Amino acid sequence: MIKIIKRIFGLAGKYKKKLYWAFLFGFLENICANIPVIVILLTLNDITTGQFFMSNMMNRLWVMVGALLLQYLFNLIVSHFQSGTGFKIIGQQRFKIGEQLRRVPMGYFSDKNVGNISAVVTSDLTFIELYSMQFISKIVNAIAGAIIIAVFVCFIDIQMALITLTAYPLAYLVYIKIQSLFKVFGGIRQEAQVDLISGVLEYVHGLSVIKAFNMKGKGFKKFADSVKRFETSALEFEMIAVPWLTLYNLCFQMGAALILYFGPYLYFAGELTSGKFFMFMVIAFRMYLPIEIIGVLAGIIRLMGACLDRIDEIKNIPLLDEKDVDKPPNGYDIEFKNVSFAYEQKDTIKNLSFNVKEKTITALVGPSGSGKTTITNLISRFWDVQKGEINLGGTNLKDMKCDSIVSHISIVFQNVYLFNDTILNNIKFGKPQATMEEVIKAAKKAECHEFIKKFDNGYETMIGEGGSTLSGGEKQRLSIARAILKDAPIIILDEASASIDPENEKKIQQAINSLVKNKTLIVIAHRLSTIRNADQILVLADGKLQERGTHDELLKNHGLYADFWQRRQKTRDWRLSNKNLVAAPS
Amino acid sequence: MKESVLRLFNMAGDFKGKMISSVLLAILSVALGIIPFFIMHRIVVDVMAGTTDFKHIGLLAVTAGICLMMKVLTFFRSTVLSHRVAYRILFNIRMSLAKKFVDLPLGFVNKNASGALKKIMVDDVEKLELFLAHNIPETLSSLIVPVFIIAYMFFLDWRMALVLLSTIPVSCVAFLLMMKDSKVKMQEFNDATEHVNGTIVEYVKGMAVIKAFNQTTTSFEKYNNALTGYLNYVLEWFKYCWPYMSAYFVLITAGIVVVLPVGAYFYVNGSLNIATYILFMLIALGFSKPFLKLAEFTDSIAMITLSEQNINNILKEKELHQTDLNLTPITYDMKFSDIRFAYNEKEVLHKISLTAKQGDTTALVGPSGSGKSTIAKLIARFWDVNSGKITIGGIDIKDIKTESLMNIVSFVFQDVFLFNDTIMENIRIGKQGARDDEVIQAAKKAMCHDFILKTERGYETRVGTDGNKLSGGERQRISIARAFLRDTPIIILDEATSFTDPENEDKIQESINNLTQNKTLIVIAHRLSTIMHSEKIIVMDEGNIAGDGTHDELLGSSPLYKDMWNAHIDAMDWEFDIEGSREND
Repeated sequence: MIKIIKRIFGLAGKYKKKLYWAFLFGFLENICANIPVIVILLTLNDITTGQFFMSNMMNRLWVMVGALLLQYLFNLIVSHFQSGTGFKIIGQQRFKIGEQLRRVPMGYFSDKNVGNISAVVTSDLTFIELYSMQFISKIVNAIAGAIIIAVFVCFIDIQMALITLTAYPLAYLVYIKIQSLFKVFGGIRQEAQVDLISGVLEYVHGLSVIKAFNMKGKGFKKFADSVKRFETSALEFEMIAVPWLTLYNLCFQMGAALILYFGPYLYFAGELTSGKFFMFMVIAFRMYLPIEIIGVLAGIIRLMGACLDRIDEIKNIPLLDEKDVDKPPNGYDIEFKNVSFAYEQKDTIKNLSFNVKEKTITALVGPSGSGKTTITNLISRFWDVQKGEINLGGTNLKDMKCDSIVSHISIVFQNVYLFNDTILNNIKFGKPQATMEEVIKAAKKAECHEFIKKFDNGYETMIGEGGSTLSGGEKQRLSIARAILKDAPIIILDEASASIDPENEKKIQQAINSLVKNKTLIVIAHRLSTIRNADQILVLADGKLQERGTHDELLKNHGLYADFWQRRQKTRDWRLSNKNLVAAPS
Repeated sequence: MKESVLRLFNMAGDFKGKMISSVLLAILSVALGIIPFFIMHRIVVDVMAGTTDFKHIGLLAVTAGICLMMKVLTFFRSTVLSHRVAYRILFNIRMSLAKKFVDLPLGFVNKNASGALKKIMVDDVEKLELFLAHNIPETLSSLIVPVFIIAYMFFLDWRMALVLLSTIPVSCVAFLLMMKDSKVKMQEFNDATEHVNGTIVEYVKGMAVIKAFNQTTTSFEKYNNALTGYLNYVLEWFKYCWPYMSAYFVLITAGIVVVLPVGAYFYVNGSLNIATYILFMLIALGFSKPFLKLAEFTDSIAMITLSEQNINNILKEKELHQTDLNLTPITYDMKFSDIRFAYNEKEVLHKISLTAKQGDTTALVGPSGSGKSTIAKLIARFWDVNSGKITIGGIDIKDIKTESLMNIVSFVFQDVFLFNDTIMENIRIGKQGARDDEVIQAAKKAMCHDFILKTERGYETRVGTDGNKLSGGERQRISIARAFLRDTPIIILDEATSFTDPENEDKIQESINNLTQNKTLIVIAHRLSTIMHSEKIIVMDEGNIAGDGTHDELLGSSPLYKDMWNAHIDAMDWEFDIEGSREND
């Protein structure tokens, strides 16, 4: 419990002081909240001892009104220091984590990890943002309340105090047990939850197949099983926890019962004055209220701990770019020297060496999984090489900051990612400080201007969810406009392999040629016909360089490339036919 | 909100009795918790009256102790029951949603991002748990019992009862002021949260682009704006709420401040006896608890209602019309007559008519957005048409049961979904009950057999979630194998299929040609050379048919087709060029 508070404090950074102030005033507020109880006790005492006077009452009224006002004031002060602070702390964390993620090797962002990260930065951070402050103040109030009352009780009568306080250690033992149960069995629920989510996702994604293949029964059963499993595990978890939580409460009810019994007992035995006896009667019901709350909070403590664990996991992803040097490159030649790289135990690049001269075209060719994309990712330093070195203009990439490296490179990805933002902002991504004229010029070069103008809002049109939809080809061209605006000396291009309608395709090709003009081009080529005039073609298989040369040289080699070329010629001339098969016309 | 609760109650099914018991037990528990107050009052009064009978007092104390224990135990029982009910309701809701998804037009599922559906099915449903398991029994009981107590207090001394309640209206005013526009604000807050989360997820997903263009969290304006805007909104709202909230929480507990002096006055002038006075003091101390619970409850109710409405919106979505006729076509000519269709308001097909003859290849071509994919989806009844009629062999597809329709038509689409199961089972989906050798036969025809044998455990290899262990082309071919196994007379093919894995394109092409032998084939075509020998090519343009005929006929009759063809030929011969394109020189 205290550990969780400490961890939240750890996140707080510069807001820590505010939280301390909030604690202090929370404590004061608590004291004020207890004043009416004390007043009642005093009044009872007066009544039994025959000291009850109206004038006393009026004084007490003013004390209580004063306490009430102070309580209100302190409550406001606590809110001031605390409520918004949770949001500020997490806001600060969002920036921090966002910044950190930028320095994580790109390889980390697999679909699965992206899902995890998204879950953490959305649900977990939001959960902490919403509940952590309330939660801390509840705990602080509970502890403060318990201490105030315990001290008060000790002052009244030490014998009774000993009896009443027995409930605390007992409850504490039960509480320790609850925490350990949560730790052990919390995992069960977590697993069931994960299982449920993947069951739901598979069902939703697979619906078209389920429908198209009439497999309502089977697809449904699998889903029903995972939903059922979740119900069982979640219930099991609750059923394990609830008896112990009940026991925790029972300790305090027992404490109250002891007070109710021993109060009269000691009074009749003459060891308790009537005033003190009445006090204990009233206290019996007040005494444990604050600490009982801790039991209710046990569940939240568990959830919060799990959230913090996941946040820490993200913060602990190893980063690139730790060295504090930033040497400038001398020109833009790229050199791979005996580079090896493995991702998740699988070697993807093995002892690779080659050179790319400035202002030439280098094409990467090879079957999927041969390492083409890995090479381009290594050049952009999305990952670090494990062996060997990569030099840009004679400078080792590891001696440059990631930011400076990518400032020399424009990347056009195969899967275009556009942000849910205006067209203008999506293009401006390439150069945030670009003027409108520059943007339009880039858009024109990328064959985008025409279709953008057709929208009612032109460049201010929102794209993505809730905005206008663009065709695949239009998206491609926007991403090219983005790269043109950036105007970096090196272009890395992953040729789109999905087919696009012919008109679009032609425009994309024109856009690409204006992008790559006078640049160093590294292209992952799928259609070999496009790279016939490349300065060099690197043919890869299994992470190794198999062949290297120009199109004509490689054809003469009669190796892998020549084989690709032959097959490509065949597929190019393929005709769909549902009539008895004939060889494709040549 | 009332309807939401009623709907949830109905979802309890057989567990309704348990739910009622749970609430009753919770009420009993609260009542048991209150009895000791009265007992304690009795003790105080008796002792004041000068009793010396410890037996009598001790018995009272023991009774109070037992009540307290029972309070906890009945609450325990109530909690156990309410959890059982809650999780059963969650189960029932999830199952009804799943059933509903199957009965809805597939288009509905495709239109809503799978993430959104998952959110409803997992997160929104989950939120109900707290409400059902805790809020319902606890809030109901902590409301009902105080009502009885108040009634009793009025019976004892109505003046004091009024005094006791006097701070409540004031604190209610504070509460109402705080809750002013809370529905709107809650919605705004939710939207703001969603916007922030959406922006962050976008940031994570777009990381490659973020990195490639050197954006930081602060320079990425959208990220920055979303976060800052959200924070400001929340702080503003809090600033507005704080004073009222504090006032509510302080005032609701302040009854004692009035009870004490007014009671003293009545006591001194002799119109209030000491026992009642003390009782009012004691009650005043514990009186505020249910009201605090109530405040928590109103907090969560807004959230719950929102979630429940999300769920209900799906459950009441219009299902695909199901026929009672169950006709089965024997011939397979396909005919569209005067079809109009709109996904939302904007019509995408404008009264089009076309025919595809049995045994022919009919190709649909056109720029993106022309409506060619929509036509294919309508045949599959992803959606129903707005007007007009689609017939197969003369029978309206609306009069064919979905099952029967699916036995006639196969789809080979771009995105292939594989279940987290073995390769064998993933192919067998094509025909349930197919023997292993039939599956292998189909795999061979789809050119899958070789790569399957190369995997670790052959046909028993499990494909990971979303089939991510296989390459795009391999997944394509598995879906073609399914279609082989299915062996339907009509095949609808998205030709882009053949392009996703250039290295294996020849294999995919070959398996497609195997698959479509002697079938009625409808192709959504992108590379015109592929379909140039089709019996019929239909040229679509902005939801209209811009021409039809064979390749040679269209070259003469349709300027659009001619343009597309020329662009296609040009694109085939294009090359990368960094010296400036030759035409420009």
